Amino acid sequence: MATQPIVQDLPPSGGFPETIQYKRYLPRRGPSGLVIFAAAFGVMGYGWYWVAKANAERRELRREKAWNRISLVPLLQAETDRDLVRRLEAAAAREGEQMGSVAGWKALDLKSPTPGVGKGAVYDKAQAEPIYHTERYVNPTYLFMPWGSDARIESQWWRGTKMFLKNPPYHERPDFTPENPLGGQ
Amino acid sequence: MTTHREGTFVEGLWVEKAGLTPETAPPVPEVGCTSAPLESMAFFFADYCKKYNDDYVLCKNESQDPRHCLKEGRKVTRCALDLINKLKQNCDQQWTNHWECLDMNNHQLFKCRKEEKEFNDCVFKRLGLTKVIPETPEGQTSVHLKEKPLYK
Repeated sequence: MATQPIVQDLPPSGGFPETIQYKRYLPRRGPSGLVIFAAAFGVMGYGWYWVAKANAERRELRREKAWNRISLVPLLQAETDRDLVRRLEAAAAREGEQMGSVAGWKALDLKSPTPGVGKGAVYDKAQAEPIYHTERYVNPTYLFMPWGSDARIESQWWRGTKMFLKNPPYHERPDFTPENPLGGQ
Repeated sequence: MTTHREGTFVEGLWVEKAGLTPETAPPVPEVGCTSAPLESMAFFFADYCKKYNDDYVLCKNESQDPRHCLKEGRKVTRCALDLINKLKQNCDQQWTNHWECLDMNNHQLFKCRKEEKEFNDCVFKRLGLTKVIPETPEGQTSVHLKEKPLYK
């Protein structure tokens, strides 16, 4: 076997032509990641800054409103007290009138001995126990209201509805005239 | 606080025509303002009637009984009426502008800062009362005095 000279595969003498790109070529383009990161956080931070400001202001507005209402409490409560006392007085008078025949009955009083109420919440004519054993004020739970009482008016189910604003009765419509009560139609 | 609910029954309403007997309580005229004027003058009321309000609230703290504080309550109401009369004499136009604005803006105070400022200035000049929101954080301008509010 004749020996042949060993031919090794080598680049052409003088190197490969420049047109063949065998190296990585990734130039740096645009701002660096750190800058983009910082910019994104900057934009978000600016937005959050105003969100926080707005939240704080809204909290202050809520507090203003709350104190506005708190300031008015004594005024409204004083008025309410008078109305409540007036109603309870009238209700007690009404109940006293009805229960006048029962000896020892105190109208609208849950803390004084009540004839007929026995120990252990049983009905017993011989006993008279208070409903509540307490020093504190107790608001009456039930009120006696006779059917024929002039303090009772028909239930007004439409209270708080907008029905008569949107659909007023014919005599309250703008085109109502006594001659033509149904209006221009 | 004793709360009061309207006497509404299933089959009717409880309207009581009898007045308060004079021996329980001497008659006192009621304030009779609607919510908007009251909201408008609330802080001045708190300032002007502070003594009576504090008395009344301390009294209410003692007992739940509505009869317990009738006297203090009358003082509060009389003081409020006094303030209302003074406001009407001195700052009627500004007050009306402010509460009408509140009425038209869902009772949001921040919608009516312009009117409020005029009203507050007038009340301060004539009656010497200022609007102070209690418990404003240290070193912060009150929300009604902000130059550039975010909500307006």
